[in-house]
Amino acid sequence: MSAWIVVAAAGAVAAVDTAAFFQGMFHQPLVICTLLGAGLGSPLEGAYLGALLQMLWLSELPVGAATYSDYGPAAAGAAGGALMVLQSGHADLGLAGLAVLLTAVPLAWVGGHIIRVQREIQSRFLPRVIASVERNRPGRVRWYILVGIGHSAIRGVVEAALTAAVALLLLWGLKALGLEGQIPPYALLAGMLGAGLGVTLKLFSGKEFLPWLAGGVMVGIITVVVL
Amino acid sequence: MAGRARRSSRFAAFMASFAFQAGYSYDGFQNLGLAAALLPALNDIYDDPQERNEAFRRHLEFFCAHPYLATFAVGALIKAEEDRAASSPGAMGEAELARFKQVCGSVLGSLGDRFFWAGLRPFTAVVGLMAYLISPLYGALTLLLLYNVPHVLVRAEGMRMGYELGPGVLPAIGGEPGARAILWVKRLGAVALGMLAPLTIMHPLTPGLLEGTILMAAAAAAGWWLLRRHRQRTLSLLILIMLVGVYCLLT
Repeated sequence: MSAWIVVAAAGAVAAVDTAAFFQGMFHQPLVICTLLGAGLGSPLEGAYLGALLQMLWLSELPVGAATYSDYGPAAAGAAGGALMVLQSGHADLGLAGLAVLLTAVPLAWVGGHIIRVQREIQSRFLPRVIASVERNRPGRVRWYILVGIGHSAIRGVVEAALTAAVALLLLWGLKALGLEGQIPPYALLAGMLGAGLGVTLKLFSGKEFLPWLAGGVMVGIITVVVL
Repeated sequence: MAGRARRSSRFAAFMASFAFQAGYSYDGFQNLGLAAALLPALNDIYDDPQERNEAFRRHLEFFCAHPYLATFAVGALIKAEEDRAASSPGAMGEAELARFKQVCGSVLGSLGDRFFWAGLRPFTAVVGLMAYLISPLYGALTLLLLYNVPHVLVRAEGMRMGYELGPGVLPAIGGEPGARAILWVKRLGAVALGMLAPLTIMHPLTPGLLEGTILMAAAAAAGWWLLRRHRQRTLSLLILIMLVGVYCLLT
């Protein structure tokens, strides 16, 4: 029960940070999954699951009225579900990673549509704020800001709990298919970082950035050799 | 009798800017966030509640900028309201104020989206991943520190510059300085992205130098191709995950 509370809290933090308050990247998968892992007593496993997801949405920009994936709560929920199974000793890290990836991506998409609904609901705020100005109480606008933060927190709790349940079931399903011990965790991470590189290249695709990209590869090789 | 916004009210506006998007809606976008941030200053500037309410209503109109850079607009609008209340020469009229907010929205929105969302965010995320590869628990901390120090400083500086320069703040950040900052953060992002590949392939846990190189190169090519070819992003990501998963299973 307490694990579900930690997952719900992480979902709320991620959803509030996504757009409602601060926006300090606490909702990035690497951050929220490490924090969640620390809360559940498995920070290393949490960080691994976050690193798997980290690069998938970097090229998706939360601009204006665009519908974007709500990946923070989805990452927290998927990692939470997987960590619960991992801690019970019924799965290995590689399989947990695959389950997290397969759960977080579609549920982040669903979350994006929930954000859209939330913003449509919040359209009702404006007439109420105008009415409060007419009653000489413009300070009521702060109340509606708090309600907006509350909406985001509730969205995060619901999304994280739902995603955790799906991840848990999927992980049991994958285990039933006999995939346990079949997926090397580091190979999965290398593959997902490679995939993330390809996805994120879109942001740096101009010819002008190619020498900088190549320079980065050289610096990386030298760093590894020196380290 | 018109007054000036106290320092404490400007600080309250800065703090309120952190919740700029909490009341986001498709009708007014960030209008509630802007109005809430300006309210303490409007209370100082206008003694007459009627005038204060009119000023508040002005800022309930549609507003959309980048949430971090919106402090430049908040500071400038406080200054503009002070000038307006004091009937200073050159104070903006209602139509000019509305036009200024519109221009602010487009300039700050475009600048912030390119600098923060498409530049600093991928750069710090990739550096965070590199830190993760070197020492797993430092990844998240690196990402948070590297991102939030400039993030909070820009918000604070925006408030200061906006209030000092008033409507003149846009030329100060929107031209050459903004373009140069975007170019450099993107260059740094490209370097970080380039560094991530060898750090991953040559990691002590790597499946093998050749195998790791093939895996990363194939996954990167698939990711690049899928996201370019298909508009359905979620489906593309799922296909990508399946491909990497199947590769891991087969090897």
